[in-house]
Amino acid sequence: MLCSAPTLPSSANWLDRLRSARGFPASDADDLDGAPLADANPNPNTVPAPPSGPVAVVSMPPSRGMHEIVTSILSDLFEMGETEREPVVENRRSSRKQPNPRFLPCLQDGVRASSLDSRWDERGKEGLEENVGVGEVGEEEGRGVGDGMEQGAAEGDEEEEEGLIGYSRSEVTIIDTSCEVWKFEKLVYRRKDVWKVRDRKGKGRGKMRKTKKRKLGGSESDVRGGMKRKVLKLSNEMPNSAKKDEKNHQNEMGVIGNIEAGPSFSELVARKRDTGGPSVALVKVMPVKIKKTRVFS
Amino acid sequence: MKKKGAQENTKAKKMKMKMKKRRTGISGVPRPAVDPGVPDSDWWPIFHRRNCSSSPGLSSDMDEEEWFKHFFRLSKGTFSYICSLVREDLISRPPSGLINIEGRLLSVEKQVAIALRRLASGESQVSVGESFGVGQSTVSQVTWRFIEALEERGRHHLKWPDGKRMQEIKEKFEASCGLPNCCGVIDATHITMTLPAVQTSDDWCDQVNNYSMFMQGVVDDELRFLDIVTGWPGGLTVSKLLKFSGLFRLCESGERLAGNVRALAGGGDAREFIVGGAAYPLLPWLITPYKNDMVKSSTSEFNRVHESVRLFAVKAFSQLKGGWRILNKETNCIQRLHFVITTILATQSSVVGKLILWERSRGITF
Repeated sequence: MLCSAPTLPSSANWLDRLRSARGFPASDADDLDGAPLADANPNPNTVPAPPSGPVAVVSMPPSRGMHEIVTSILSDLFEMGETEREPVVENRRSSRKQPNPRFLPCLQDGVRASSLDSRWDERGKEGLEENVGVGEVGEEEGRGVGDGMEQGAAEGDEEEEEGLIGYSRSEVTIIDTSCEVWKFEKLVYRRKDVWKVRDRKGKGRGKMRKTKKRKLGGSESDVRGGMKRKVLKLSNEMPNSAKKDEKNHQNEMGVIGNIEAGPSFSELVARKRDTGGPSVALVKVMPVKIKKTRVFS
Repeated sequence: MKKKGAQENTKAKKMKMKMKKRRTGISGVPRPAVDPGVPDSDWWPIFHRRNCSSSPGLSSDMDEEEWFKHFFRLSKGTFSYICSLVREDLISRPPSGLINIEGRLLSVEKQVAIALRRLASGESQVSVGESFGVGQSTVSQVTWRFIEALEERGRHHLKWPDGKRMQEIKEKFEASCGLPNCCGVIDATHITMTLPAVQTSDDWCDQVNNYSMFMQGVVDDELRFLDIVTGWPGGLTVSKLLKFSGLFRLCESGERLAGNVRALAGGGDAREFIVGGAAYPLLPWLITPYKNDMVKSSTSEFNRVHESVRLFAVKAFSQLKGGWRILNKETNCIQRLHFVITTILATQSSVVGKLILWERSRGITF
């Protein structure tokens, strides 16, 4: 409840009782929108001075913050005319937006999040532009060659993958006796006659090893590990909006830690609702629910 | 107490039945008692007897050595050397060692024979297992243990030759074909395969609509592989495969084929180079034939010599794919195909040459 109901005589009609129950002054239909203000502000006709700069909700005094929240909710629900709420709402909305918005590529893991911004300006953008062209001369580590091919270790894989839209992707294991390490893994991108090669690093390789272990007769724990990896991988494919700031990334890392520890069903449901992720985690616990239903039916 | 005693009796009876069944085998015919701890080293006479009769197309007057090569593609000396390479990894130790149907431990020689037979014949694991008196799962295990072991232990046999060995190769090429400073021949082939359901990319589809992976090799005058690249999708072209390879990178940076320049009799000089077919690009270190529209009387002679050198690679690849028939079977796992190729090359190429010397030095009798 926003405010306590004032005591009224029992003889008041049902409308007055309803108004009082909801915190509005009785028998004053014209002043409905001022009712909450009356409780938060002793003088409802006084217009609060608009903040000078962008206003962050957290920086407001508690009482004033509550007042503005209620005002903005009401203003969304009802036509309240040109009142003092407008600058407040505008300021709050503008604070959510970047002053100079710019494109941010899809972030794959939390480690890259901090360094990505700085790197983006330096090389990411040029990298994308270089990669998109057909038949261009690739140049990475000084060993790329013509005919629309590129080879070499691409450190900003995720950034560059943005420029590889429309390419098919294959994960390959190569044996090359001219290399110091005979066996290594690569990502091959292809669009028609244009082939691009990238090193395969990090999670991908780990997943591959897990798969191989399983194929060669791994234990049940290996299978579970594979499942976890799948959940992690899919959770990383969330929309960009969920990953815009570092705080969200920290949350992501927290989620990953929870998965490793074995989350409960409710945690998984809540996580899916929060992140908008796929239902892989839910599928794993479905049989339990079915079993219970059978037991009780 | 009585009940407990009865249970123990039943257990004992079951154990006795099991042991009896094991001794008599599937057919029920009693076998001579064998010591489970002793590996079965007499596998070859048994295998030879059993499988000679099942090869009707072959001449009956082949001697034992020829039969051995027919079954395993290697001489007995080479076979012994390979066994010595992988012995540490394959040796069976009780109680966890691999056993045959009789319950005896599988000797290293028998394990190597099983693996080589599987790779050479390309027959199913079941039929290979039947010919050796082991089960399908044993064949699978033994084959992959062998592949992993040889890939590790035989790796040093597949490397680019050092200066002395390279000089020998160049001299032999010049003597046989008249090309000075030629260090080898490059060629490529497709290895067909099946893709797992999750990997249906057309990248693997080659020009004749087979799913395949590419394999590129540089071969010397004795048909030994000096350099191997494999695993790239079959949809690539030969020139792109070359450019993705480590060989290309090393040659372009001057780390390979950068030896002595040979002065020619008619003036000019020739740097170290390899020979490749018309599909390859012409590079300072890679010589390709003249194209048809450029052929004149003076260049046709060059093309003839070039082709005679290129045939070394054609032969080497034919021997590889013809001799080790598992390469012609569609394998459903890309990684495993890598192991197979690596293993086969390690056994087929460098090892063979080294083994000849090794056999001679030891006077091996099998």
